[in-house]
Amino acid sequence: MAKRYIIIGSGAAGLEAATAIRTADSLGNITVVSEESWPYYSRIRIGEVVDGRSEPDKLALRLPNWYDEQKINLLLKSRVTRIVHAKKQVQLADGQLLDYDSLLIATGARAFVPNFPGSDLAKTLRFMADAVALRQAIVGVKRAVVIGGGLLGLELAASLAKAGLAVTVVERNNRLLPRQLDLVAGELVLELLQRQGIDFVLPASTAQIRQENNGLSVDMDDGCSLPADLVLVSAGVRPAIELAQAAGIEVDQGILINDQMQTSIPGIYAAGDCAEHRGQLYGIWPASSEQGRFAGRAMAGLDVTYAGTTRMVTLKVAEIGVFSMGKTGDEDGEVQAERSGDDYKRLVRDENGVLIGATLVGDLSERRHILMALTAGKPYP
Amino acid sequence: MRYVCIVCGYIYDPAHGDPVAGIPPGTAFEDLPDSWVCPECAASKEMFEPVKEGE
Repeated sequence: MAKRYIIIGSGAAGLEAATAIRTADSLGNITVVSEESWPYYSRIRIGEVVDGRSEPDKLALRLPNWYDEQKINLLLKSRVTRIVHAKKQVQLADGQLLDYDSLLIATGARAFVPNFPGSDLAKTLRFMADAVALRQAIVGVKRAVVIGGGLLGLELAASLAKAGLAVTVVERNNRLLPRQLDLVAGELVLELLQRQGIDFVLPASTAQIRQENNGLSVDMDDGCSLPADLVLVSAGVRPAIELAQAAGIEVDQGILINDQMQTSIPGIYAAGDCAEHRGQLYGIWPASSEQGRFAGRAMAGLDVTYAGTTRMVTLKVAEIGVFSMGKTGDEDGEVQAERSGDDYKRLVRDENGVLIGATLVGDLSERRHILMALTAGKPYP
Repeated sequence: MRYVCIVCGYIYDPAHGDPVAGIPPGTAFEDLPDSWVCPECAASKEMFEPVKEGE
């Protein structure tokens, strides 16, 4: 009998898994259950829907007829309410029970909103439905505040600025992208974004959001307030693990998986933003799609060993190129930094002159040589 | 040859093309129009590197 596969979630992990299963097993019954209304799309690009540069359909990562061609049964706007692993079944919100031989939990992550008074007045951007709603919500709106100056917060701020809003970003660190960039690079990115018309308040912590007669007010810890028509929170994500937890699957911050992508219950796998592998929660697209491919092959009965995903070193922050690799701290070695116009290059070498880390902002043309020098341990240039 | 987007990790495989963007299977990376962008993250063509096959 054909093997029955059920995948919960239609993001990168879920769909890459479905694709990998179909490649390995041409006869299996594959069902993908998703709460979302849009089939597999590029989550990275949903900001383009907010500012009108793109449309939901244009961000699809598969043609509409692909699902039929691949015989993948896609159930959109459907929610799994329960995993009954003793019977190898999942239950949908409408009561329907589906049988599986192999189940993948790829439920992803949700936007995290810190718990301060009035936080329910803020919006988040995580799903295509959020992007479509936000596009409507910004019509006629003049002032937006984005709480959180990380990668996604900056992208969102740039989208809103493109749509013509006056945007202020509130960041609790004293500079942008502290995990990715040194002080000078962080300041350059700040300056480039300011030139795109975005204002910054940092370091600053949000104490509360208040509804006022003529809009909202974002109040800081230091007593300052920012008036806004719209407030967005971009403070990271949290893995969606409730379904797994309720089924008795072992979880920590994420759903625990081994190198074969298996959870603690036989026949149940997990991948993507909801999964925790060797203590790592990635929360990045390349890791989710890679884990999905591994999970799909494992579910189809192939031997796999997932050893983790190399974190990407190139970023695009609101169309500004940023490259950072290796050791980039001031204490790591001898630093040579040079800013010319809007471009920045910072190289870190050890006592023998060997390149051990690099940061580029703007002009990324040298990254290929730097990458080779770093991986080969050769002197540079 | 396959190409990888160094921003998001998307792999352009000429065997599949990019049907959603109207790029038919069999289109070499070099033959993609300059206006083509990464379907996952919208990076431009210059952000792609050749994939060393066999890895």
